[in-house]
Amino acid sequence: MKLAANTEYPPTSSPSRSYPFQAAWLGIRPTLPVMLVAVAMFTAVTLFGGNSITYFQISSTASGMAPLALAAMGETVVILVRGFDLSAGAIVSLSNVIVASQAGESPANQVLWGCLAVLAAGGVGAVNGYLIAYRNLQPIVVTLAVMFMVSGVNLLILPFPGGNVPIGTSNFFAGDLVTGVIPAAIVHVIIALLIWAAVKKTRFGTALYAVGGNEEAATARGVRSARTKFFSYVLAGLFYGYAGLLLSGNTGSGDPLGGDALLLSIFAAVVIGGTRLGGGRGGCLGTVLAAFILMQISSLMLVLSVSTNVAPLFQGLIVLVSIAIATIMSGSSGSTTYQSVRAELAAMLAVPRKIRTERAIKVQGAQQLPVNDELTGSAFQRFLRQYGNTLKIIAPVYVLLVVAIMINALLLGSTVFTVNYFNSLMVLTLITAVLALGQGIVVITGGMDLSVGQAVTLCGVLAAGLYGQLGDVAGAVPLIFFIVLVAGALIGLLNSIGVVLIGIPAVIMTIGTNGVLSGLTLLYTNGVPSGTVPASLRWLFGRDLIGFAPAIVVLFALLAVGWFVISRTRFGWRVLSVGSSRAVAGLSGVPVARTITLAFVFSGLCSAAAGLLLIGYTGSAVLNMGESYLLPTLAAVFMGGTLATGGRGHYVGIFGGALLLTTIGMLVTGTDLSHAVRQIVLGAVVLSAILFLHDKET
Amino acid sequence: MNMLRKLYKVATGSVGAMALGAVLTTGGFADVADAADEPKVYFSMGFVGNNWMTEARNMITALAESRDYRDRVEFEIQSAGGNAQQQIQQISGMVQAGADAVIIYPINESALRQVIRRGCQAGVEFFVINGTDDGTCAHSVKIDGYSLGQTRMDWMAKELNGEGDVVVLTGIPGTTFSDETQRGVEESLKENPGINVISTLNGEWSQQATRARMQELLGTKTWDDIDGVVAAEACYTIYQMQVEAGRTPEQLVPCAAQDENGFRLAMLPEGTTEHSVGMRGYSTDSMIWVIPMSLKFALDEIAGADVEKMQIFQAGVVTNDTVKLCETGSTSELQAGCNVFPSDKVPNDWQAGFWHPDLPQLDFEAVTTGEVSE
Repeated sequence: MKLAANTEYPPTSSPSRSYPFQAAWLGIRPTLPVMLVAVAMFTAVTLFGGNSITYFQISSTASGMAPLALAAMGETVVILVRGFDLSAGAIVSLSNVIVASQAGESPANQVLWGCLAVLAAGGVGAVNGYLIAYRNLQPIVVTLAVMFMVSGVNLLILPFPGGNVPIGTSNFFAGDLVTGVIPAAIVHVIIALLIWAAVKKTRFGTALYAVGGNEEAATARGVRSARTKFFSYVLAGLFYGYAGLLLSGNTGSGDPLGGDALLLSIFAAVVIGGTRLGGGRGGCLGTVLAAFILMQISSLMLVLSVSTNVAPLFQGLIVLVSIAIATIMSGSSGSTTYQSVRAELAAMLAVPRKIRTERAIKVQGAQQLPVNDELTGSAFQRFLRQYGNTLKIIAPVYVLLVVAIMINALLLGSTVFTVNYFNSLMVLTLITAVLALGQGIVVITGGMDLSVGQAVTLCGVLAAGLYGQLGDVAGAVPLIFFIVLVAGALIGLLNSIGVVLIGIPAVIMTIGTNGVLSGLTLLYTNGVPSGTVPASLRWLFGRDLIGFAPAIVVLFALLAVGWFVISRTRFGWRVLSVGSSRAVAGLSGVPVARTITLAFVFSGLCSAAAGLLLIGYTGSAVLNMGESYLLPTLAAVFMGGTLATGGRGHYVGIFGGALLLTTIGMLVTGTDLSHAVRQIVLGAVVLSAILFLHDKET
Repeated sequence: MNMLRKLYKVATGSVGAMALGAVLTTGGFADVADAADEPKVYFSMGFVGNNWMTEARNMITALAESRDYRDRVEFEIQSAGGNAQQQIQQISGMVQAGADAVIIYPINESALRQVIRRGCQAGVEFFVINGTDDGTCAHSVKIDGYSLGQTRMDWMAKELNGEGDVVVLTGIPGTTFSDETQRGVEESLKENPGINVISTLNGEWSQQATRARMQELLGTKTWDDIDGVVAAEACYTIYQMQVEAGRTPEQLVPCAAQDENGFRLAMLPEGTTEHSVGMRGYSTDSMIWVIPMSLKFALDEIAGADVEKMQIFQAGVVTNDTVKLCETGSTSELQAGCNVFPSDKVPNDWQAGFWHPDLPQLDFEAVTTGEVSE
């Protein structure tokens, strides 16, 4: 069983010669489930549609899925070496806008710009690869920063959808190879798969799986892991570029935001296709089939006549269920985690004393500050020795913050040092800071919560809706707060069920949850969020506190709570140890499953709180109001010195990250820079923050 | 054998997913039954989930199910979830399913050229909202974004006697309609050199984004530095923020934008409702009626009438002189010229400019419930 699951390793020795059939079978076997689902899906769409399969259908399906398939292939390569690439969608758009804005009518120009577009995408991949492989920076943070910058550049190249993809290019990528028989897009997907198959046969291909499977072992055998990683990002970039060309062909135009919608589907395709997020296992064939499945979902909605209010929830559920199935099939650690949960429960029931003992040890630990006689020198030196490591992760963001405020003051003059300025700064920081607390805790455990955007929206909409109905009842406000917080906690619980019980990687699980939550919100509101906002929430954002908004008190309370929870409680200590090493934490008696569950629940509670605050701030509930907070929240967490792989983080730093983001926002707005420049500046700041931190990937 | 077990797992998994799907979709299956000779018309919405889209969906549903239409058309709506690729896929699915006409609210209209071209070859009529005249076979039903931007800024210049510091708020940068409107604003600025734009902010057609960007700006500026606001949306937020900052009704800066109900309420003479302060404003209709109107055009075209390829519509304008409160929003009231609704009936960011005299039956009830009273 174990061996069978690993069979996408390229056959290294003779079997392929002596047993060609078996070798082929071994190669295809892991992708069989997803292949079956793909066939089932296509049959279902055709059957329910009540039509026979026509060339038109095949050709449009092929052109539709090809860009997603190729982009997801690129992501697959990166994930195979235990990487992660958030910039995929933006790079696809880059290639797309280059072709749409530059390629002229002459065939030579079209070929030239097509090649340049792919090379530009490869170049961005090389930047990712250099920073990750040779500077040892964390993949998630690097690619987040690069994503910001590339999407800014895209808007500079093509400020609005349009441009013109010449008809020649368009036909080459999305037309017909043989009219009425073979659509060009299918050929391109096959070419890409052949490229992948060839790459797999090379030393580089073997190295990809080796480094992804076990980097130390690979290095010990003489595989150059840094170089392998670098080229995996370059190859991924080239695939994204190719995907961009196919997108240009299919849409016949450029769209600077077009890739954004692809990103989540890309990750879903990789996971459903059977590639393991931990690296070393999987491949591109499954990814392509999964891309096909994902694109068929909308056709399924159509042939089943699902109403527009239900469809998003339905689609979200299909993706989530598929992810869960794919994870179980690929032999995740879920079942083992499940056993550990059972063991934990049994232990809790049987030996309650164990917990008390642990608490006692923890309390001793907390009181046991480094003994003073070991620390010599002045008070300052002692302080440095005691808190030096913490300072090292917190200081950079505050240095940048001071620099940013200085630049603000230089450019905008004396208006900066006023009550107005600091009031705006702190009020605008509040929501990001609340979300960053929950996100920070999840990241420190080694996960990530991408469902916060829709969780905030759902909670906000729910609160406004309930208050609209119950507003007149006495005591309604506390009750509504309670219900909304419970809803937040349940969202966290749903995430943790996927992560802890089934073993789905947190990133993927929370993407799935996000889709489901967005569907639920639409269903609850019927498209128009109604209701009103309690006056007490509105009051928080007035100016009733000697010129400041009362919300600022909440902000400082949050800082205290965040610092206390992460750095001073048993829960925080467990979170940090789970993030450092699950195995060690588990062996040391830390209830790993429970800690991760609580981290997600905490994040859900933070989302609920942010939802309440946000409707107070805006004065009404709006659909999708939380979505724009997701990326800033992540940026704040990383800039604040949190390690993306978990195990290290401090809320004072995260809080500084949130402040820094707001300061930059105010700087950009105050100096009237365009949205494109805003994105580029944001990416540059995130990047410089982590370069400053010298974070090594553990 | 392992493989068998795996297959079994997949099978049970898929059956589970299908069953789940079946349970969820029973609601959706409602009335597909009576497929006869009536023409099949689909509406592909770029996305769902804002007031404009929801009102549009309600209005076109109400029209399709009204007495005059229900026996003439088999009508269905699908949404593409904001994904241009998915919309292409969806439209080709509609063609495949035997559509006679497809109405499209595009995510990126230039992305649809290919699929539209192929669909036309299959004999399908297309009606694209805000499409451009790019030589495809589709009909375009267009809201003139350029003149929207231009007239808003022209009005502002007049309001400020040609001189003043103005804040401009755009829609979502990178989208066609936002860009078009912004070009109109810039054109008008060329002719009004006395108007100085202090800042161009990204308001995303949303109250929330508008508030955040304005608050960033107000960190270094005060309301005294601002003489007027020209926005793609969210003058209500501009009104609200000034009230919160303690400015009196006389101090409120003039604002030009779309048709949020809250904004129009604030424009009403002081005392009309509790939110009315006579704020100076220029409010353009968001013309949701173009969606049901497209259904009318589609059926006309199928019936053999020669509907014009490119129809450009100008938005109706509501100023302080013409703003008028509706009591119930009935057809007769709307015909008499009312254009804003009581605050307890709709949210303040709800779009009030939905009605058109050519489709009089689509009144307040139709746009809020999706049903026409008959």
